[in-house]
Amino acid sequence: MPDLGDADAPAAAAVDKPAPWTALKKYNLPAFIVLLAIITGVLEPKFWSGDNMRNLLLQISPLLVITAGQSFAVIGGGLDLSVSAILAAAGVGGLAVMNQIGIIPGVIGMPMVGAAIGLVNGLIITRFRLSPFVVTLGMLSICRGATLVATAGLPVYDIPSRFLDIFGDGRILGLPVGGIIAILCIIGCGFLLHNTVFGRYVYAVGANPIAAYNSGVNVQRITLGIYVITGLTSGIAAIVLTSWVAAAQPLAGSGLELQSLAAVVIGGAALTGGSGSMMGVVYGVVILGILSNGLNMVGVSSFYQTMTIGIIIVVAVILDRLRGKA
Amino acid sequence: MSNSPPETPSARPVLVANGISKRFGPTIVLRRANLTLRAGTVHILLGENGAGKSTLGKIVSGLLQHDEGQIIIDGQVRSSQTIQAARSAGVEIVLQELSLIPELPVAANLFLGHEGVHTTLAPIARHTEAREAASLLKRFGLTCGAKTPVSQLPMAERQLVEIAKAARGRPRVIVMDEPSSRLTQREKAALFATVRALREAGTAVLYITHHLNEVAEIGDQVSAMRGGQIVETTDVSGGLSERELLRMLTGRDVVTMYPRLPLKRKEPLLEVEHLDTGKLCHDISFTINRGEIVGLYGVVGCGRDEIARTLVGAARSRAGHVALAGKTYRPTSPAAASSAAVTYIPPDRKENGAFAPLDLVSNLTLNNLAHYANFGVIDRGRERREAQGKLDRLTVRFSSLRQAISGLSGGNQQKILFGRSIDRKPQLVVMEDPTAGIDAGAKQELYRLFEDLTREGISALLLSSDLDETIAICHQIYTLFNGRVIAAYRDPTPADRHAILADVLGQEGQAGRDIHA
Repeated sequence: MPDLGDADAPAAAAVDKPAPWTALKKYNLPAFIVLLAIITGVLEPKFWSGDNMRNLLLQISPLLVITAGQSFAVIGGGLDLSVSAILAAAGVGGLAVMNQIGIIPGVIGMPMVGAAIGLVNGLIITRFRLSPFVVTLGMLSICRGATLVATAGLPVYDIPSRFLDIFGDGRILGLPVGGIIAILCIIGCGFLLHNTVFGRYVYAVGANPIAAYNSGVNVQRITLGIYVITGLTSGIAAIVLTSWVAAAQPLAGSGLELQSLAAVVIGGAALTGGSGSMMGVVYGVVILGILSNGLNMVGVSSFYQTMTIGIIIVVAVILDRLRGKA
Repeated sequence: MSNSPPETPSARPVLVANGISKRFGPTIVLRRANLTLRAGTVHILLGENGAGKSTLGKIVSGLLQHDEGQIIIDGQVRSSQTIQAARSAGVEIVLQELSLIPELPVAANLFLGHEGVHTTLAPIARHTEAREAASLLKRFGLTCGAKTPVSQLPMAERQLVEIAKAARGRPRVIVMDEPSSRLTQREKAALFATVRALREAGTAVLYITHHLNEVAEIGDQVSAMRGGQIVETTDVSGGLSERELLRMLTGRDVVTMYPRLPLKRKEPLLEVEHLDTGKLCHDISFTINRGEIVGLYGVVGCGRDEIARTLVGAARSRAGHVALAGKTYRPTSPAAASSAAVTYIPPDRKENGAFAPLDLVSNLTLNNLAHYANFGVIDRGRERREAQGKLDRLTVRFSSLRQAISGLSGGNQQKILFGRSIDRKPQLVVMEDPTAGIDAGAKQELYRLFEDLTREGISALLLSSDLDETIAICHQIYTLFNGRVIAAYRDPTPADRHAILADVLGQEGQAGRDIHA
């Protein structure tokens, strides 16, 4: 098991004089998750059932995959708003390949489409030195529009059943294949972020791009790599989501871009870049997942859910600021 | 032009700064500085880089708050000075960085923040504004139209508009921070005329500069600053010689000697010939031998930072030839320079060097990750172990390898940046102000590290604003003025101080050996 990073270590280290919450900080996210799970379990005992656990894992899988990529963008000092639109485009595009050529080319095609769109994002950002916010905002609209055009606005249900059997309903060691893909993604991205030279450079570029340049880091190439990764993970998320809902929807994953940013921030990354970890990503996504799953089971309307998640996000950002000040 | 002030030197003091002290973190910038500004006089504040001139100017005008001392304006004592209070008492400042908004016309810039209305949403009386702007421009002999966007004006005129903006409300005191630094000789004449016009109008001008010749040109009084103190104040009318000014500037300080290893043999490492960096420097030649520390010394705007950036690949040269260990060396990026074993310690650690949120290990090893990695995967255990030993050798004081570098003192941070630059066993380290803003003890430790560097045969190019330091640790100093190499000093001693200062302040022929000698 590679090192997924200490969820709070980089930020915690920035604090020289311990703030009141510092002692708890290392474990406050897992503690919060346990608390959340206990409360939900008390209110609705079925929360702990194996079925619901598997369901929860599947529910959070697309977000987990996308956020694994998003964390590179945020730690590298940027962000990718186009992840959900890339997911939709990759889903529809990959499905076309799948129906034309075969299941395996289609499954490989989805991440490839995602990586290609991410490459375009990265090239525009680095060649023209534009802000990732604007470029990926534009790409969000472009991909969403292109997907709507390609599908005439309708979901594509024409999916090979073997694909659905393997990726949608399949289980390995009792775990849904989608969830396993997500876990592998987290492990892979965690390894890349925490154990490789590339990952170290991502932190450096996010912490101080000028210092990184002066130290001999090819800042442009790292930035390009970051957006290829966010595109790639969006494409992998397309496999998970498409097989799970048995459809490629042009509006698939709407809102995942903001949820993934929220998860990264909740997980302890600063939006200013240079801090965060893959373990933090897991915590952030699990917190959002349990909230949504739990509130659903308890019977809270989805309108309130949306509100609750919003509050969590704002609180997380306030905590982020307080941490920065300390 | 007569040098005598319109009123006697005992003219009424408008502003008195009494025992002003200021520290930035561990660095003491001002130590009980005293200054008296009188109505209708131009008071020149001379000093080397880092002497505290600008800080004093900013404190007087309320941009910075002093830690100790008092500021007395018109007999009224103020223990603290805010920019609003300074403004309302009639103290204005013209900063080195212009505060004009390039897209807006001259008139709008002149009145920015003083539109003469009391609510934000009230309409601006454009006609009045244009009329007043025109008369203001006329008063200062500016020929540009009030409606011209500032971006279309040449630099000199922008500078004058900036001064006109500050002088708009007929202030009692105007502080000008190196107003001539970006002007050509001809453009300076217009600036001087403006300064004289202000003096005639009874304004007290505090004119901060490091150009000695400007003292005789426009000064009524001159103060010299050294190490955060005003060491001497005198009237200019007495026919002050530039030699005398140099003595005021340098004093008779006994300079501590830092270690400097003698060179065993001369083996050229970096040979720079007729380097043209494009903007300021067009014909720079010098040589660095192996194991040698070479200093390029000059005041701000002499072009030394251009040379450094070119040598580390952060800027491209336009012409000339640079050879490293006998081979043509023309790096296209700091990464390329680093591959050629030339590393860089940039100025302003916080902005350009440190990765604030990252831990000590990451900050130390970043330039040399290939050494700690196999096929792109970092051996974190090995990285940690080696980092521990290296940080100890660098005499960095820290509590945990995992702590963020931002929690360390400036001196310890600087040691880590130095460690990063040598981790790759470079042939040459280019260092810009490597000891700026750190305490004396840490400086000594860094000098010791520089010495170790030369012992291993590694060379360094030092671009420091600190002349004492440059003299003490460099085997060879090249003085720069206005993009040209003026002279070379082999094994410099404190006795060379006068000559070096004369070189870099544009006083050619004072002393110093010719570079080709």
